[in-house]
Amino acid sequence: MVPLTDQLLVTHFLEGNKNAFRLLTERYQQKVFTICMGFTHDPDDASDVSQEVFIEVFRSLPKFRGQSTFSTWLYRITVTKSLKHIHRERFNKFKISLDFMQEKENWNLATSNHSTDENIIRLERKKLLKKAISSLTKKQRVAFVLSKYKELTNKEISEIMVIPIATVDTLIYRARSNMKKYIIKHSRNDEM
Amino acid sequence: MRCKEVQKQLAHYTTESDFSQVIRTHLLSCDNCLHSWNQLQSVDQLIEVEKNEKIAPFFTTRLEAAIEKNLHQESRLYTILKPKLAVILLMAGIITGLVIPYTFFPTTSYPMETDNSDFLFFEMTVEPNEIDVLNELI
Repeated sequence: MVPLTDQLLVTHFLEGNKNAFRLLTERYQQKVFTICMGFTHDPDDASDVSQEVFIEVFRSLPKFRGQSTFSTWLYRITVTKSLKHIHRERFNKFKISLDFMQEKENWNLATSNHSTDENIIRLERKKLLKKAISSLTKKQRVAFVLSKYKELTNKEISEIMVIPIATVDTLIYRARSNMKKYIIKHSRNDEM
Repeated sequence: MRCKEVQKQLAHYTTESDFSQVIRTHLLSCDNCLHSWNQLQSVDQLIEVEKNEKIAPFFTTRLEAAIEKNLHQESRLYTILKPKLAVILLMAGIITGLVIPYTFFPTTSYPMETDNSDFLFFEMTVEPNEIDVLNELI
């Protein structure tokens, strides 16, 4: 039996077989979701962005030239959509009322299994992580998320970002170092 | 060792087993640096939690519904024609705005030459009605 490679599934999809797209989605949905989590830090948002990614894939698959592997192309779309989402979120921050944000946090607190104290600490840590990642440059952030969350190799990251492998090394090293510096500085400020 | 130096070095460690004896001793005596190290560890743990977060069930089903809805909403032809249609409408608006007033409401042409009497009128030192008033007074 011929193994169903990505390329084969893409070919089947282009021939009009919708099940091929379903198989591709099932194969990659968790991977795409994990990358989106690295950018959004919220399961609902990550799920929404993942959906946007696959809709885009569905639309653009006929234009896919196969110059890179399907996974590289898919991860590139994921990164682009996630960055767009962050940009949109930053813009919408001014529009969404603070009450709504508070309501969402309260709901999260009420529905989780942890105690209130644990939840508050968890929320604080989440905020710290989000701010630490936001403090990175766009390229550092992308390289960091792809390496830390998705555990992709530097070669794969270099193909996705279209940059040399040596640059990926530098970006990841700087991202880690800057994040840790930010966290240490922030934790010191908290205590003061 | 000073706190600043220790915290600088902490950023390069990933586990406690990598610590040098000097840093280990400092962390035992300094609450501030220990707190910083704990924060680093907790953020690492949080990343692990986020990494292992599972996607909501029935994602594929919801995705298929969303794609179906999307296809209905924007037909491909509409997407291509949208910018062109906007340009065509704009041009039509400009042309209509320019043509219609001249076609349906022709402007009355005014002669370019000014009548000599106008000059005479303006050159008069006293207005005719002022002369009447003066006559009445006299």
